[in-house]
Amino acid sequence: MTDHAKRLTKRIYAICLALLTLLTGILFIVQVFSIYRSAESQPYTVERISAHFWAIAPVFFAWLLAVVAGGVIWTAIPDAPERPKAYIELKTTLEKFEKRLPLGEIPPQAKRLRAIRTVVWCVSLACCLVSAIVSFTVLTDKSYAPRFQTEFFTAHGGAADRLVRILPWILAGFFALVFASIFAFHSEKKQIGIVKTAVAERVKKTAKETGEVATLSETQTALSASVKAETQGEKKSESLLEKYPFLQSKWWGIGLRIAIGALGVALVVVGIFNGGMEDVLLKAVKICTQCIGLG
Amino acid sequence: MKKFFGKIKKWFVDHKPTKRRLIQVYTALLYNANIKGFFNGEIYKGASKNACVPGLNCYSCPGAVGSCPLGALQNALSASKTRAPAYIFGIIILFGLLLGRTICGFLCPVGLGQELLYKIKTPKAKKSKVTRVFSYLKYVVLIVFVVIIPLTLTIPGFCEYICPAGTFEGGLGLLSNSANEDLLSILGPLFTWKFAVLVAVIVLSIFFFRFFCRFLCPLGALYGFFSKIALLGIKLDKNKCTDCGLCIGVCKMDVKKVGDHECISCGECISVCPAKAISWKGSSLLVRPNDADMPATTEIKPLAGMLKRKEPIEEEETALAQSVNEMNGEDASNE
Repeated sequence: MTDHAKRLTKRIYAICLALLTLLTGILFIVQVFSIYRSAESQPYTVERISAHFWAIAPVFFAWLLAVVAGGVIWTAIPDAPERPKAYIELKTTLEKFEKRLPLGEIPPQAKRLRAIRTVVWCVSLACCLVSAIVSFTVLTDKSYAPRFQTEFFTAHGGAADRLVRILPWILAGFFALVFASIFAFHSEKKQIGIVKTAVAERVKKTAKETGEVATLSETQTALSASVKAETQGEKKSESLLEKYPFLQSKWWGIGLRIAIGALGVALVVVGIFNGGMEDVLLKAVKICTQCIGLG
Repeated sequence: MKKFFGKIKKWFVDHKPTKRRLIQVYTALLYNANIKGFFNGEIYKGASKNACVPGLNCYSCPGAVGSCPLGALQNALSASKTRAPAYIFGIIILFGLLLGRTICGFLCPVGLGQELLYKIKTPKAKKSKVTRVFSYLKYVVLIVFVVIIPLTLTIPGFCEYICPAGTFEGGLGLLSNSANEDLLSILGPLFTWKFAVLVAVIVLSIFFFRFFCRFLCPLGALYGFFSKIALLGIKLDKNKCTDCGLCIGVCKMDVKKVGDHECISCGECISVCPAKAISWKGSSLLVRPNDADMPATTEIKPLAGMLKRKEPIEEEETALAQSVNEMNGEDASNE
């Protein structure tokens, strides 16, 4: 079997298994809702559960067999070791390039892109703040009236109803952040291109002024020298810990850990004496049907 | 015949579980050591339930011998008007300080289950900017379900509406025993919802690495606050680090830096670092360098050789120099 054939076989198998997995999961969920809707009271009986789940048993067993088959296929045709791929934040690369330019030489397009990104992040964070405020208000409203009048939604002060109500707000906040994140990625990519060109122009200008012949290797040397000088400068200015020297002391870390550890021990001791530990035991030795979804 | 047995032996050697996997399995068994409970369908009522286990393990599981820290926290907050929840706060602080998110990587049965599900050979969803944003969802779950709902509505919000461990270990664990058939009569809409959540988490864990841990687990969110100060975990030597980005590339969690609040201290990044800048905290005292989840036959030296590459800054310099050279070429032709 050629390498291409092996890869294709594994890819086709993986896609088929993915579809079968989704199908099996959907069938399980459909069956459990179907059991619930099958009777007005006491929907879950042994007979009903057996009937519904035996109906999808062939699909489930086919899935299990497919999983085992996957193990056999991957043992027979193991994956070739992959070279790990590096991941470097675009923001880090952008900052490294921008630090090679004096402030006055940063291109106006780059500054404009940065300003737009700042505005987009502020707007998305504002969306998150609004959704947080609305959610908090709904959750803490003592006089909340549930919209859905079924037992599931009205129980416990309308807890489920409140959660359904705040869900769109929470998702809106997250999607705002996702949009800002993707926008920032493309904007940074564009900005890196602009800044790289500016840095290259600067190096070329410097080389011309000093009269050096700009061959590839000599340009590389000039660039390396300027990068090394500026990178050393970067490392010195990068370290915020140098502003607060005591934070670099190992005793600071040890002291902080001792303090937090002492706080933890003190809280445990207080909890033992005020009956907190007993509460944990009392709760744990009884079946909390509501906690495990039994209602 | 000898060849056949040789192949079988090689298969077992190649698929030998790593130390981390063994610790995860032992921990899962230890948390659920009340084997009798699985046969008689009753939960354990001994004194060891005064203490919480570090990982997520439902105390209504018939085998559970300790309490769940998250369940205990929610109950303590529900009852906070009558009693300050000092005990559980102290327990979580001590777990976080001693172990941090090493608990997630080594001592959580839910994490073990998800990693085993992820081994099923389907196409996998890669981490991206979107998954990184959604990794903050667990903090929302922590604040809404573990803090606000217990405080305002006096119910354990996370246990009641989300926790798949409770449904699987507690719910299904009890219902699977014929002695608990009477519990079927109280199943209703809540069980229907929670079962659907359980199935969804299981299916999504096959496609996303540690789906529940990355996006929903409030316990991981809590322990993440202790990442920097935890006594055990992964640390990065910034003096040796060349910012090559291989550690972040190899990591399946949504980390920005090694050892941050998303890092579960699994140790996979240790072996890929060409500068050997990553190590275990306290490695000089306690543990040997990790062999993580790599196959037993893979040797570190050849891998390190394969990984050796130019520092990224050299590649950037080359690209820049080439672009300058192109400009020089243009200028010369214009002149």
